[in-house]
Parts: sequence; structure tokens; C-alpha cells
Amino acid sequence: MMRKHIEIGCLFLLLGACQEIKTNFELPILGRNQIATKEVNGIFIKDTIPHRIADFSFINQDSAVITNASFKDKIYVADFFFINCPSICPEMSKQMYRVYEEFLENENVGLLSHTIDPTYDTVAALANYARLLGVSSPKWEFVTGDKDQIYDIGETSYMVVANEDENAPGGFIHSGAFLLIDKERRVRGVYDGTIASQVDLLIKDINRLLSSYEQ
Amino acid sequence: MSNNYLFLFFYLFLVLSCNSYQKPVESQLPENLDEAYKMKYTQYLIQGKILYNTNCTHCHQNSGEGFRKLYPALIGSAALMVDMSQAACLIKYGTKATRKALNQNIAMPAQAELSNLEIAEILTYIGNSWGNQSGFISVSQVETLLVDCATY
Ligand code: HEC
Repeated sequence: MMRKHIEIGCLFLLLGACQEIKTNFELPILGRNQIATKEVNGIFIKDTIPHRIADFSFINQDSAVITNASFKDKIYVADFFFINCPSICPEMSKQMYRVYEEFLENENVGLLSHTIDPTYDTVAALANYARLLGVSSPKWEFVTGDKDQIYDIGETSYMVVANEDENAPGGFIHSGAFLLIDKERRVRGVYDGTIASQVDLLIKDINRLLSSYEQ
Repeated sequence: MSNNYLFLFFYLFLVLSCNSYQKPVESQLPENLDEAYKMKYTQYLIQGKILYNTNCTHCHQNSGEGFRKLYPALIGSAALMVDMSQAACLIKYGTKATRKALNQNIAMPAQAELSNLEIAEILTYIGNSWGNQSGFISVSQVETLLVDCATY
């Protein structure tokens, strides 16, 4: 009898401890590290280079060039979408709009939506989309550009699926992921942009990441 | 053996209790309808709601309120209440089939796989919910509404 009580007590202690860890933990750094060897004073040493978002250059809804430098000293949330997407994008836009409203006044936070249908989603089409949504640059950049460059950065830097597929709704297969990127261009979180509770978590994590820069 | 009968009764009970049609709370049903018409009307509202929830809510939202200017509200929509052929054509063939481009909106996709019966149920539901009141829409009315859709 007594033993049972102790066991249950231990269980609560454990659960309580987890709770503690959960609220204080630092966001993970995601992606595969690269190992590079470099020479220091004639000795070869191994150096781990964390996964980072590669250099990019796209055009936004106002015809301005957007590069990594546009997000200098900012953390940002990236996603991949297309205007004529019949399935998940409407919900993604709605959820991303929540993030937009939440951090509208905070200039340390930006949003970056890449179209995966650059043939149709021209600068003018993106400008119209942003107008209908009622959002503007630089807070929320909608970018288009070279199709291969968009797919490539999606797969290799943001680690999401983005591709043409005639069998998928609207002709493209893509994930509804939102990626949280820190000021060092590292991926710090992946969230399902079609699920409100995941986006609640994203908003919490943005605040957590912001405060890690204040210390 | 008696167990089987018990199941049968339970099953019958379920079927019968489902049969007492309840219209969705957000929908309007005119008063003084005769029983048969009322039953059919209610059935369209119920089916229409199911179809709306699977095919339309992700853009027009649960209560037809729409989202920003991207996805127009269906509450008080002129394309629905004033010229219903616009709504019917939009549902079946998408934006490209409507006669005039409605002010620079993004396009609504075609849902050509919907049958005329399904469109009638959807129109009955969205035309009589959230304060909209445009009455019962039959399958033959849908046929007429779809005659004029421009096809580009
Ligand atoms: C992928 C998003 C999307 C889906 C799914 C969708 N719609 Fe639409 N709907 C739109 C857009 C965008 C417009 C504006 C189109 C235009 O102006 O040409 C629109 C316009 C309409 C209008 C006209 C509203 C007005 O007054 O301007 C009606 C009615 C309508 N939709 C009903 C439906 C119904 C019913 C369904 C489900 C069978 C549905 N829609 C599914 C995006 C969608």
C-alpha cells in the first residue's frame, strides 16, 4: 500500500519535472549538421557547421528584391503556397494572418511566403493577393522568382516538399509547414500551418526565441 | 439468438431516431409547409450542410462569413441572393465561367464533380442559413441556373 503511494508520488514528481523542463527549454536547432575539417596551426580539426538557410534572391509583391539581408536582425516565419491552391492554402493564409496580427508591431519579426506557382503568381498577382488579405511589405513578403530556385530552397534549406504534381489538388504537391528561422538563419521549429493549435505553439515559440536574444 | 434480436431492435431504434429530421440551427425553414415538402426541404438543408462543410468551409468559413477580402462572405451575397445563376455557375465551373469578373478577386476553383442534386442541396443550405433567405432550390431549378454559364 505504502509502496503504491510512493510510486504514484514519484510519477507526479517526474511529470512535474517534465513540466518544468518544457517551459524553460531552448528551441532546438534543426537540420543536419555539416562536418568540415579545417586547419588550425598545422592541426586538422573537425568543425560542425549547423544547417542554415542558403543565400536567396527573390522578387516581392512590390517588385523589390528580397534576399537574406532583408531579414537581417529579424527572426522570420517561412511557408510555401500558391494563390490558386484549392486545398490547404486558404487555412494556411488564415493561420499565417494570425501570426501577422500578433507581431504586427514587432519589427524583429517578419513573414516570408514563397509561391510555388511562379508562372501564374506574378508580382501583380501577389500584390493583388496581399491587397485582398490586407497585409503589406516589409512585415509580410510574398515572393516569386525562378521556379527551380524556389523548389530548391524549399527542399534543401527549409526541408519541406514543394513540387509540381499533376495528381495533387491544384497541380502542386507541397507541405503546409510553417518554418521558424532565427537571426542566424537556422531552422528553430516546424509547425503545421493548417492546425490552429500548432500555430498557437508557433506564436509562443516566436516569443521564446525573441526573448533569447534579449538576454 | 435473442442477442441478435436485441441488436436488431437497437439498430432499428438508431435508424428511427436519426430519421426525425432536425434542420441545422443556423438555417431558416418557412412556416406552414406541408409535411412532405417540409421533410424534403429539411433533408436538403442537412445534406447541403454536409456538402458545404467538406467542399466550401476552408475558404468561406463555418458560418459563411468569409475571410478578409480573399474569400467573400456568403451572408447577404448578391451572387447568391440576387442572381443565383452566378452562384450556381461559380460552384460548378469556378470563376472562369461567370459572365463578369467580380472585382479583381482571386479565382474560385471549379467543382465540376458536384451533381445537380448536390448543387441544389448546397444552394438550399447556403441560401437559407445565417440570415440568408432565398427559399428552396430544386434540381430542375439548378438545371435552369446552369444553362447560361459562360464557358471560356
Ligand atoms: C479555394 C477557395 C474556395 C472554395 C473551396 C470555394 N470558394 Fe466560393 N469563392 C471563392 C472565391 C475566391 C470567390 C470570389 C470569386 C470571384 O469573385 O470570382 C468565391 C465566390 C463565391 C460566391 C460568390 C460570392 C459573392 O457574392 O461574391 C459564392 C456564392 C460561393 N463562392 C460559394 C461557394 C460554395 C457553395 C462553395 C463550396 C461548394 C465554394 N464557394 C467553395 C473561393 C472558394
